[in-house]
Amino acid sequence: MIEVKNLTKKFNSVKALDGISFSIGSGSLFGLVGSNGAGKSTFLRTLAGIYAPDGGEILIDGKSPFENSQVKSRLYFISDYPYFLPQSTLNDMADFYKRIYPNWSRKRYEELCGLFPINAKDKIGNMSKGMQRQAALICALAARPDYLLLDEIFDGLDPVMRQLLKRIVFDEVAQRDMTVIVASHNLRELEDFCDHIGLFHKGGVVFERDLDEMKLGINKVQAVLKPTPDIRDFAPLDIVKMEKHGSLVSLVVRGSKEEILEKINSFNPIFVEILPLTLEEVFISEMEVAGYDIDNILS
Amino acid sequence: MTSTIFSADSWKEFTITFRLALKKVRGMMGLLALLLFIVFPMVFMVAMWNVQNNHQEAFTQETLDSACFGYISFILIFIIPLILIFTVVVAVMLFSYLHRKRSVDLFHSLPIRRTPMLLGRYCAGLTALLVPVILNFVLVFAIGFSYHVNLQYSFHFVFNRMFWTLLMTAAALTFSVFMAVCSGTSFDMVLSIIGVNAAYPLLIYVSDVLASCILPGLRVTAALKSTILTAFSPFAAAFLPLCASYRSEWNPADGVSAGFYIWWILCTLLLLGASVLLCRKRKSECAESNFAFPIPKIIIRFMVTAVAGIGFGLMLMFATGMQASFFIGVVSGSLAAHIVAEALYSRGFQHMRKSFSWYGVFAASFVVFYAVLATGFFGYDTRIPNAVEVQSVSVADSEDHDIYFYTTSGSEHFRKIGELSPTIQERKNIEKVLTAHRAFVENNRETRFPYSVNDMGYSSFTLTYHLKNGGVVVRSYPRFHIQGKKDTDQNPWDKMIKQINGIQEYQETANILFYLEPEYFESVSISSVAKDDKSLAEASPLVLTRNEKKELLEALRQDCLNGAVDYKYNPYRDETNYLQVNFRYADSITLKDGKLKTLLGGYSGKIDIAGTSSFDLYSNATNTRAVIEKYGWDKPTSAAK
Repeated sequence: MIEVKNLTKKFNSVKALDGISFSIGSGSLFGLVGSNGAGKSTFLRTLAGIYAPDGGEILIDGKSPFENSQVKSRLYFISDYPYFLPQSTLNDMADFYKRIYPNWSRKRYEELCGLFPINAKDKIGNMSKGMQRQAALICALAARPDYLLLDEIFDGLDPVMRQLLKRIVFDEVAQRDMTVIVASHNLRELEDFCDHIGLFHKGGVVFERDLDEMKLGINKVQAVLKPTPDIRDFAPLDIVKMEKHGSLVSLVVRGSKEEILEKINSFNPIFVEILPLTLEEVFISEMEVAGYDIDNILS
Repeated sequence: MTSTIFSADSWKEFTITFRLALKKVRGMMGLLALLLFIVFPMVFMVAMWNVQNNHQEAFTQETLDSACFGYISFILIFIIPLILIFTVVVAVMLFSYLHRKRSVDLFHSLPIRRTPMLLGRYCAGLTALLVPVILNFVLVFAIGFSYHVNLQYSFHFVFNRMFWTLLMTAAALTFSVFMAVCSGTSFDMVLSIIGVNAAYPLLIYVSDVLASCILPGLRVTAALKSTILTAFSPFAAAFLPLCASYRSEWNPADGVSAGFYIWWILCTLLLLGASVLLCRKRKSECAESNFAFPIPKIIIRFMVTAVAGIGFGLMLMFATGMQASFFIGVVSGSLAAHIVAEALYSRGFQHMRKSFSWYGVFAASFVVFYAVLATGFFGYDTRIPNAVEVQSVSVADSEDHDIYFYTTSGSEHFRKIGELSPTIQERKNIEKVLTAHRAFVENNRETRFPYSVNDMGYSSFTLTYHLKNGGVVVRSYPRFHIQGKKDTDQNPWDKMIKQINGIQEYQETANILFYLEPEYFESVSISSVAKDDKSLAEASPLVLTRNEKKELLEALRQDCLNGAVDYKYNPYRDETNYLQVNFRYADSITLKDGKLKTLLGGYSGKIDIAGTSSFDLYSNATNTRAVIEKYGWDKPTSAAK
């Protein structure tokens, strides 16, 4: 369980985290989204005990991670640009970590080396960006942490590797109840990976929700209507967004499917269809309701 | 999910870090050991073999011991810089992780707290540097042992040098670690190490010179063994025992004072404590910025600005002899240094305007420093003790010829055991000194106050008052010979010196003639110096009988007291035709009961006298000239005697 209470982190006069508060349950896959400079990486570094908070607190199972080796032994952080010891191979890094992480598993390390197409005897410094991330992931998963913190982990990974990573992480979460927090500026990347999402903007958390809950209460409708009704004609439906292209009307509507279909059918549509919303569309609608300019936030 | 808890024990975290860090620097450790072996034991072994097998003179235990200590002292000149370079390299290797954001992400997210992380790396660095040093010193000791060097003495000597080398290596590493913790980049770390170690001793030195150039009675001394001169500069302090070796010859006990050892042990511990404390407070996000803590930057920039300003000012003044050049030099030198230091630390000029507030701090400090000195430093210029407080007065005239006494026997071979030190103890003579001194000080106040910066000259005249309460008051003045002035009364410096030199007690303690016994010199040579011919006429040594020697000594002493013989430079002597008497001191003198034996504390071994032995006889040196004429020593034939 991670609890964030009024957490503040400043860099000189700039507030990178401005009094944020939320919690992350054990065993969840929590996605942090936001534009560059939103505070995602700062939050992860504070959670990893690298940065000391300037205000408020961040607790992992009730304890602060900063200068706490007991807590840190249960978490592993992969930064956006993972660092490896100079001139080291993956085997050297494994040798390094095995002395430090108490749960390090040689067996798991060898399994992971078999899963990822990587030569453990090659110097990591000579590897591509994607290969370096794979090396970092192998070390992270072999350390068997309770909390895995990943910053822009999908950058540089090809689609096959992304799917492999997701599958391995899902397995770890399922088997060991590992909590994963992954930061990304790409909502689509997290859509099929996370069960919770937190949106960061200018050092604050705009909101954080369960993804399924978010998707359940909102629907996208496409219908061909002649004549095309005005938005007021759809009352009492809660229309979040409406677009017209000739007789094709696209609606984002809050409410149950049955309720929406009943109202649309009252206009005798030539065609009507309820479509699943992408995570980005859910966010856009939620954000607009909250009064934020989503294009600006996710740009 | 429950994990096995990583040990909360700091010791475990420390040992993990220590092993990993040692693994990282083991290559440097091996390289240092190899280089030290080549430079130290190997060269020492070759040198000792050469001494034992190819020595031209008679080979004795003393020759061997002396060569052993000489070679070790000489080789250390090369070893110390080598170790210090490795110290910086090892410190950068072990602590540069603090200076890169990516490595900070890794190391500060590991389940190892900062204190064991820092101490583990520090101890690994210490091990990598000290183990090769110890191994090589042990080898040197073993080589010395195999060549039958005096074991007790050589152990003392080697251990003394090894302890100092180890201590200063530890101090230099700790200082480097402290700078690593304070700095944001490794470049700033190295820059700061160089900055402090170069700027601090120079700042003390130029401040001392400036004070000596302004304040009458204060004079800088090249105190290489001074604790203050290198107190915050371990890289400079590491060389002190070497300087001491060549200043005091082969006396191992005279390396550096116990206080200096204590200071550096304490300083090392304090720096380590400060490093740990600051490391815990250090913000990880400071990596790749200039400084994690700005204080070192402010201090270093201040020191560099002050050194360059005062140093350049003094250089210009010494070169041109004009006071205005000093102030032009101070302003231009300090400004240039401030701009360069700021540009280096800030990697550009964007913070330059803001930094000038710190230049203002230097300017204000300089003005206060100068003003305090110009107004006599709170009465320092006029503070002279009363006659009733004074036990004795030592007089040191840099134009006096130094006379030293060295041992020539046993394990104490060539150890300096004393020197001529003119001392006045009789009350009436002390009062005479104080009267002359007071008149000089009052003249200074009347004619020079407020004091301004002046060339402090090369020669000096120092009065050291030893007080009855154990205190010491030292006043040292430059000796200026004003060109064109033929009378000492026209020169306040020489007027005071003449009055003190005229005291019989002074002459009898300042002049080697009053310590010599006939057995202490083997021969004399007498030559004439002509007005237009500065070179001395050739003269063969005269071997005299004991009575002749005694008669000559007594005549010379009497003429000295009458002011007819000069044994040091006299700018007011206008006679250009005179006789010069040169003594050749005996080798390995056995001291007789007398003045010299008393001066040397009743030393019973054999000694050598080193120093000038010539005396200029003028026309009024009637006593000596009479003896010379009586025995015909001024005639060429007498040389055959």
